[in-house]
Amino acid sequence: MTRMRNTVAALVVIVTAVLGSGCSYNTFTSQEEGIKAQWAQVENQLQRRSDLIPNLVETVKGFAQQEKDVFGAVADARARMAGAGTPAQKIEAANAESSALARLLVVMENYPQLKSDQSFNRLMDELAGTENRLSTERMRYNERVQAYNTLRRQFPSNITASMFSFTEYPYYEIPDSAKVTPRVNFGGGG
Amino acid sequence: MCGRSATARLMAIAALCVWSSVGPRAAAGPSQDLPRLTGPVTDLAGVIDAASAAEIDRISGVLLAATGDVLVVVTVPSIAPYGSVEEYATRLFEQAGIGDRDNDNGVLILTAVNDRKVRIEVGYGLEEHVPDGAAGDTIRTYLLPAFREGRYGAGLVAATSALATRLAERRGVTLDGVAVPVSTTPGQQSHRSGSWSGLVFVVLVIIFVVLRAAGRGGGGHHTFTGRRRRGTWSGWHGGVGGFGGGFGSGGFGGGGRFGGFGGGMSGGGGASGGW
Repeated sequence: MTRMRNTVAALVVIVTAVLGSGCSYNTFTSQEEGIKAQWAQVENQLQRRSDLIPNLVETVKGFAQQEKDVFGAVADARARMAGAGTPAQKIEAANAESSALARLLVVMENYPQLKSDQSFNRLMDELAGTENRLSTERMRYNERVQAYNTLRRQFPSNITASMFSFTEYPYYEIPDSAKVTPRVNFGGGG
Repeated sequence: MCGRSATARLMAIAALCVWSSVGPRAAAGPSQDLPRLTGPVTDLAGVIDAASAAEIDRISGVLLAATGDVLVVVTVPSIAPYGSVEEYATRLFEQAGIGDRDNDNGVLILTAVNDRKVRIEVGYGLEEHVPDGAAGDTIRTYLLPAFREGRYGAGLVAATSALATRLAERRGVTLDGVAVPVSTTPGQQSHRSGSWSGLVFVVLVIIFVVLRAAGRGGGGHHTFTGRRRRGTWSGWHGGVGGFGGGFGSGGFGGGGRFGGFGGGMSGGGGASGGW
């Protein structure tokens, strides 16, 4: 008798937990959609940066033909980026591309004559703007992933998560070596 | 015993569920220490003179009435506690909601005076009209030279007019009483604002042709190239300057509420500079 009451109580608890977290099923789906939409924004900016690279390399080549290693590394990284499929692969490839770009930027510092070139200045604006867009979209992506992953691990929504297999999304993190900070406005001091 | 503990557990679960649907939302969004914007000019650093502030206000109003685009100027002493002028600008843009929610058609000119940094942040919807290179050109041509001399008001008026004129031109409208500014660096303006000086040149030629057609005759072509380079036409639009404030329901002349904060967002587009 006591045993049966126990079982009933346990069932009630489980059912209530599931029903109670039914509210989180919809939260999960809408958050997941939000993450996907935000990831698309991140991809847009990654694509934008890849599109910018040939132009940038051409301009710098005009002043610094001998820096073949760096140009090769940038081209390789861009090719890898184009071949990446899943978000995790893309994040990795994008970080490699960032590292290569960071090296290119260091090389450019050695050619002060670049800085008086008007089209180079505009290109640097575009690159800086793209990096900044990327970090903005990445920040918004990570914020959404954080909200989703947190909910996924919290009780009782974790029950819904495991029942309907809402899997964890990866954060877009960047290692220090991949931080690209183009110096806009070389002439200005600053 | 069992019944009681089951009830207790149910209560606990119900509480958790309510909490889990409320809790995460309450914890979101670190937007600390950002100023509240209420109009086109928010001069928290106190560096814009009254006449310049009024002029920026007027130009922004004319633009809003003509194209619906929202141009906002903000100065702050410092971007602290944010790490960069870019991050500050993006957060401020989002919090203030510059432009419409549907069109994201806002532009923010943010100056951090003590950090000696300036940023033009462009809303998603205007990125095609003001690409990063154009924002950078505006900073290099109009803002930095003036800021180096401490003339914040003059630089910001010039940049505001330049951006407003550009937006109007891209949308195929003209702005009453908003002139293309001359560069704040004397002597280097003709290259940088090439398309604008070209446009004004065309206008000059048309006026010239009209004058000739009116029968006054005479005069050689060469005088015009000379005039174009000298850039002495700043007084040209003086006569129509008074119109701006009177337009549009969304305008802010005469104490009306500024309708420029409709939930627009930016995604980090634009350019930055330092002096």
